Order: sequence, then structure tokens, then C-alpha cells
Amino acid sequence: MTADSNVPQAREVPTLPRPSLLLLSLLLLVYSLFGIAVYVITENHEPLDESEFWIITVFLFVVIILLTLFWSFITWGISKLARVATSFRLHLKYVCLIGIAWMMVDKGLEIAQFAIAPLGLPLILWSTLHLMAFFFAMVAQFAWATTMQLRQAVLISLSAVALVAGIWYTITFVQKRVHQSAPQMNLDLLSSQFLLVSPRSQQELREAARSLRVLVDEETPRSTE
Amino acid sequence: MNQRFPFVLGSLASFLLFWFGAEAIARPRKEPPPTTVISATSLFERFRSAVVKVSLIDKATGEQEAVGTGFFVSSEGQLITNYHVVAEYLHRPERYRLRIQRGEDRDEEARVQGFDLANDLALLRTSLSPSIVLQLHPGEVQKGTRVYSLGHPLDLGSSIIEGTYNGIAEREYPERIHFSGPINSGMSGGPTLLTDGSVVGVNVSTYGNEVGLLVPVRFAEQLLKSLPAVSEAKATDSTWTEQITRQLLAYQDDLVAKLMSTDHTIITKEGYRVPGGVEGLGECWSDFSEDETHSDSELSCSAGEEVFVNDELSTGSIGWTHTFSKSERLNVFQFYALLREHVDLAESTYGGSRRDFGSYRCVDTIVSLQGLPFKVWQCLRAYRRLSGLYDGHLVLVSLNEPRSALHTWLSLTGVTFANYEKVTERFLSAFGKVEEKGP
Repeated sequence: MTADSNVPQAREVPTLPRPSLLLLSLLLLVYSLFGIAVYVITENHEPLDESEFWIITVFLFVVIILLTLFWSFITWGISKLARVATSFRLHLKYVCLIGIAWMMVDKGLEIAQFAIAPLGLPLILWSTLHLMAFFFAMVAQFAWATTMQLRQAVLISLSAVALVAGIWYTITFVQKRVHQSAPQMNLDLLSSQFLLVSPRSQQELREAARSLRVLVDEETPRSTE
Repeated sequence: MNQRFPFVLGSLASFLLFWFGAEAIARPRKEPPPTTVISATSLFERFRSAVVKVSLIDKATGEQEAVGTGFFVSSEGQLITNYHVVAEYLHRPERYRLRIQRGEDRDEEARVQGFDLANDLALLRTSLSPSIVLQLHPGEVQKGTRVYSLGHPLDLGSSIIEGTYNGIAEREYPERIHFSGPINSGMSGGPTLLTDGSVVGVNVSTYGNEVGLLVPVRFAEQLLKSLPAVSEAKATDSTWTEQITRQLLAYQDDLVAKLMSTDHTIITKEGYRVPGGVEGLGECWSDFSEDETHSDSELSCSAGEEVFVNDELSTGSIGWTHTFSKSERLNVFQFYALLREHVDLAESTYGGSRRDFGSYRCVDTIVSLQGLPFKVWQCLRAYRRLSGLYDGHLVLVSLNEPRSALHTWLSLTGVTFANYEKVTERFLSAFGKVEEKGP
């Protein structure tokens, strides 16, 4: 081994175009419009009058911008902590890009269910794919927007995914405590409709009810007061 | 949609009673009742002393919180009233006491000797020695017979209300007499008399517009026979809870047995076959609504009325709703967003004190019912104090069409798990697809 081979090679940092304010604004606008379009197409079932349309549009626009700024700030903070050179504007740009990509992946997966439904892929697969898409988006962002090495980016992204999952779990847990008596239902109907390969029998439904009873009995202390 | 708006007479408003000065009709009766009393005036004067005001008194303030009516049925001071008049006393005896007032006599304390939850009756015992007790009418009464209801409507003083006996109300479960007359809050537990002074029913509730309901007097007779004449033993709170549980179990066992022995009407609509109403146990109502985006055609059915346990808990009902939703304008995403709202079990639908209930738990699965795919949710919660009882909900959404769907709710409250299984199984077996006939 030569002396030269022991010298660590400096990572070649890709030359990134300096994002202009105009480009950032355009990206944010595209991101917001895409979010609004997705909402109108998939969620809202009532016809909107003009004032409702503008209220929802402005609301979503503000929400998306705030979320983008917030997430950019978080990732910028992480890269600062990791001591990798970066700028907030660069993060903002990549968060916008990742945001657009994320929405497309998210809705693309939903639409893809129609196409490959006959394969009978289980519902859990979609959740896994969503999580993986989020993870890769994070990796891409850190790898591109900073001078991180890929391994660093993967580790930090894993931490970020764990953080998000933890926050999500905490919120859900608190909600369950607050609304303790309310039933928690999985309302995903769309996935159900297109994953109909092996519907259960009534016998299995009965067994599910019996398991439910055991659970409910275990969780409910009887009172004699 | 059900168009009735029952108003239970014994709510927290005022209830009263009334007294009638007349000769005693002791039980066992020593003298035969008069065969005919012609006018309301003479009926009132004759029997007023047999009717008393029952007040729920807050021990802390000494003031009344609710008022009802009662009437003497034995010379040992036993009174019949509604269960709902005394329910809060039973549940919080440390906070309330029962006060009996009769004319100018001094107030007396009363205790609960027993009750019939399903028929909303309670038997009280007092230390009073009534000069007159009312006789319970043993036989049939013809529809159209003139009858008189006694009580203290809205705590405005003793009153006699003239009305018409209209037989057993159709589609009411438990059984109720249809009384046409303006009975009001405060008359709960009061007697409705024939012109000879014998009791045909006990005032219990009203739908307004002079449509009142009475508990048939034979249930009061049964309650009297089921209990010792006068019991000195003081029932403990846990004894009452046990009795309430036992009676609720018996009520829903009876209801479910009747439900299982009677076929559902089968409804065919929008290509689906679904279970409809059950003859003699309840009723169904249809409703149709339409807007720019979709239409909903709804069928709501029930079997049995809720049983009032206390101000926080009414239970023992079985009901189901089928909604046929269709849209030409919504895309599949929007249509399922709409369906999600329909099937989401909002917290408001499933209220109740945490003292009474555990938390709901749900499971969902996709099930084939007679070849028709459905997403089915089952949600269950257990009662904490009424051991062995559950609230269960079954929600179904058909998955065979992208922009039209049948969604159904079946709700059972205060049932045993065995009965939940029986009812849901039979209910599900009635679903199916109606084959489209060719031209």
C-alpha cells in the first residue's frame, strides 16, 4: 500500500446551480398548485363556489409554503449539525423539488392500485412503498442539497424517518387518549375495492369478532361502584 | 327517517301528581268499585287522595330536582310510579332522596322496593296508610273508551285530563297503550283511569300533539306480584346494579328471541337484496336526498325501543340503516372520499360516560356475502358496570361498483356477545345481489 493510497480522497461535490429567487418562487408555485389540484381531484366531493375555491386555494397555498419553509429549516438545521456546507436557499429549492416528486409518487401509487389490483398485492405493501418513497426522497435531498456522503445521507434520513414516525405515533396516541371512547377505524376504502383477491368468509368474520371481544374484555376493567 | 319525537315525561323538568278525595279501594278490595262515575269532577274528587306527587330532592339544597306522579296500590303504602322518575335516586342515593306529597299531609320519605326497567315502572314503599288505593283494571278495554289521566303537568298543580283509549300502539316494543290526550311532563307515573276509577295504564311518555303512551297496567300487576308485599330489607347500590343488569339481559334476550323467530322483510333495491324491518318489533322509514353530485336513498329500521337506565345511559336498542349512494359526476377518488364520511363513526354517535363504558375497538376485513364483496367493520365496547353487556356496531360498504355503493350500519346496544353474534349472523345472511333480468 502506498502512502498516497492512505490519503482520503476528497468527495467530489457536484456543482449545483445557484438557485435564483425566481426559480424558488416558481417551484413553490408549482408545488402549491399541484397540491391544490390533488386535493380538488381526490378529496373534495362538493362543487365549490368561487369564494370557497379561493378560500381553499389560499389556505392550501399558505399551508404548503409554511410546511416547505418548516421542512427546509429542519433539514438545513440537520446539515448544519452534521457540519456539511449548505445554504438554506438550497434546502428550500430541494424541498420544493422533493415535495412535487413526493406528491406524484403518493398519488401515483394510489392510481397504480387500479392497474395492478388483479395481482392481489396486500395493503401493507402500499404503506411500505409510501414509507420507502419518503425515505428515498430524504436521502436524495441530503445527498444533493449538501456535501454529505451517501452513507451520511442514508443515516440522517433514517433518523428523520424515525423522528417523523415517532411524532406521528405520539400524536395518534394522544388523540386516542383524548377521544378514548371513539372507535378508531381504518377508513381506506379505495385500496379495499381494488384488492379483492381473497375476501374472507363469514366464519372468519365471526372469529374476528370473537378476538375483538377478548381484546375489549381485557381492556375494560369492570366497576362495581 | 323516523318522524317521531318522543318526549319522556320524567325528564328533569317538573312532574306532579294529584290527589283525589274519595272512598278507598283497598287491595285486596273490600268494597267493589263504583260501576259508573259520570263526570271528571266527581272522578277527581273521588280518587284524588290515592295519587301523590313524587319529588327527587337534592339533599344538599333540600330543593326538588325532578317531579313525577305515583298512586297507591296497597293499603300498606305501596306506590306505583315510573322507573325514570326515581332512576337518579337509585343511582346516587348519597345525593338524592325521594319525597312524597299528598294534599295537605306532611311530606313523607319513600324508598324503592323494586322496579321493572323495560316497562319503566317502579314500586315505592312509604309509611303512609292511604285511605284509598286504586284498583288495577283486570280486563280488556275497548278502543274509543273515555279515560282520564291524572297528574301534575309541568308542576302546575293537580289535574285531570280527559282522553281516549286507543288500544295497544302498533310497532311499539315494549308494549304501550296509545292514549289520545294532552299528557305532559310531570304526569309520569300517574294513573289513567276508567270512569269506574280502575287503572288501565300508567302515564309514561308523549310524542306531542295529544299522542301519549301508557304502560299497560298488567305490567304493574306483575311487578306487584313479583315482590314481597312490604320489604324492610334495604337494597344496597350493588343490588340495584345487579337488578338493572339482570333486567337488561332479560329484556334483550326476549327482544333477540322475537327478532330471531320473525323473518326480516327482504328489500330489493338498486340491484341489492338487504334485510328490512321485522314485523311487530319496530318500523322502517325511507328517505331520499339528492344534490348536484350524488344521490342517497336511505332505509332506516329499528327493533325495540331504548331502555332508560339513568340520565347518562339509555340502552337496549337494535337499529339498522341501509344507504344506496350513487354518483354520475364524482370520480372514483371523490366518491370514496364521500363514502368515508358516511362510514366514519363519529365520536358524537358513540358518546357515554367513561364510568359506564370501556373504549371501542374495531376490526375491518373484506368479506364475501353471497358472492358480493363488502368491506366490513366491527366495533365493540364493553360495559363497565353492567357486566356482560356490550355495544356493537357492524358497518358494511359494498365494493362491487366504483361509483355506486350500498353502505349499511347495524347498531346493537346493551346486548350480550352471544346475542350480538346471533343477530349479526342472521343479518348478514340476508344480503345478496339481485340478478338483473334481461329484456
